[in-house]
Amino acid sequence: MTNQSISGLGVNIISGTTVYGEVMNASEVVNTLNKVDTSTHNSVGKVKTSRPGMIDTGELTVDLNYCGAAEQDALRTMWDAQTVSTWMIVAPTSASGVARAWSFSGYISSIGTPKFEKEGNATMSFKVAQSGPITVLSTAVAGVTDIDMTDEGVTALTLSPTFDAAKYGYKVTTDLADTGVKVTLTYATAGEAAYVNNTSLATATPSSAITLGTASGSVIMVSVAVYKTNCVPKVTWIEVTHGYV
Amino acid sequence: MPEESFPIHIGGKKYALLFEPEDVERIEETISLFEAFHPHHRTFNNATAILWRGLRNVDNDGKMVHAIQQGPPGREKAYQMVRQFCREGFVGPAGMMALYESFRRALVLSEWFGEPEKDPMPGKPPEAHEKNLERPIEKPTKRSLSGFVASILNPSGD
Repeated sequence: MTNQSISGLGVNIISGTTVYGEVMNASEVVNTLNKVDTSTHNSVGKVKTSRPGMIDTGELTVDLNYCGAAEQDALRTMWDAQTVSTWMIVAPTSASGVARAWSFSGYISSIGTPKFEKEGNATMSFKVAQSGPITVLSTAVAGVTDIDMTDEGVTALTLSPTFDAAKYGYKVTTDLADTGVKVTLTYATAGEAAYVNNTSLATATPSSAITLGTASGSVIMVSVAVYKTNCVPKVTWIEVTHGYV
Repeated sequence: MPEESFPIHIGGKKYALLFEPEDVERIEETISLFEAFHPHHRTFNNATAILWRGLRNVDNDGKMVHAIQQGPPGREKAYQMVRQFCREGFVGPAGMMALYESFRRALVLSEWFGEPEKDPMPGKPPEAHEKNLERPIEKPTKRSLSGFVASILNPSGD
């Protein structure tokens, strides 16, 4: 016998059209409905009664591995500017996962400097205060129908496994002489917009070259996200290794 | 596409085949180009090795560069492209024959293989040329054969 539990592995946190990689933990956002006491001296059986009041909004806590990515450093800028944006918790997008996202407006209420421990990874944490109701989304976008990658020029790289719309993680190993990678997406569904490494990308158009790590064997993670209004975004990650070591 | 390359379409995209010396060197780590054209050696594996090293794209500067990465991961991509070419608009093994014909033409253009010049006027009898002149076929004699063997063993004649 088995049950219908799904893995928590593979959640994505998005703000606007920015996907945050290296997420270690994403907390729940708890909303509480306040009770307005309607009890009176003549309550039958001395039972306290109440009616629904206002909603206490919650807070999202996110723990990341800090790697100096632009979107990680931009979190502090958002905190400084008190930016209110749309935040989204996207349930693990895998073949066995569910198409769900929880969307709400919020602002960064708390942010720490990265934490460096002598025996551990550099990490950082931040909190997002919810400032609007949570909308549950359950219609997935169609997403991309193909992903092609090349080096910084026009030489094709090999996606492993081969592209499949039901797969959300790929590996690519470049040649040692390569300095960057370009991504070309194919998508055609009306109203959908795709982003590579948080930059908008039209269909069938190569992205700008994304710079590789200089050391042979170094890894960069490239995000591919497809959005549509009121739909669950599809986020795909491509692990790019510099050089076949 | 430069003149020494041969155009080829795979998956609706236009590429070119061009074989530089280092490409041939790498192909021949898998199979000799002369063996590769024997029907018994027209395998997907060998076709992959040739396409992988010879397939070219034109970059933004108009330079012909490898269409598939040359590191080990590129082999899988080349294999997929061979399979794609062979099933695109060809019946049965005709795709593989067409692919090898493309390889052959590209190797001629890249000056690895020769190709006799075509007769400018089909049907015209060949012009008198020393090699076309009819000669009585001489039966090899024991003497002529021993002279031939001696010339191989002692080419300087000392």
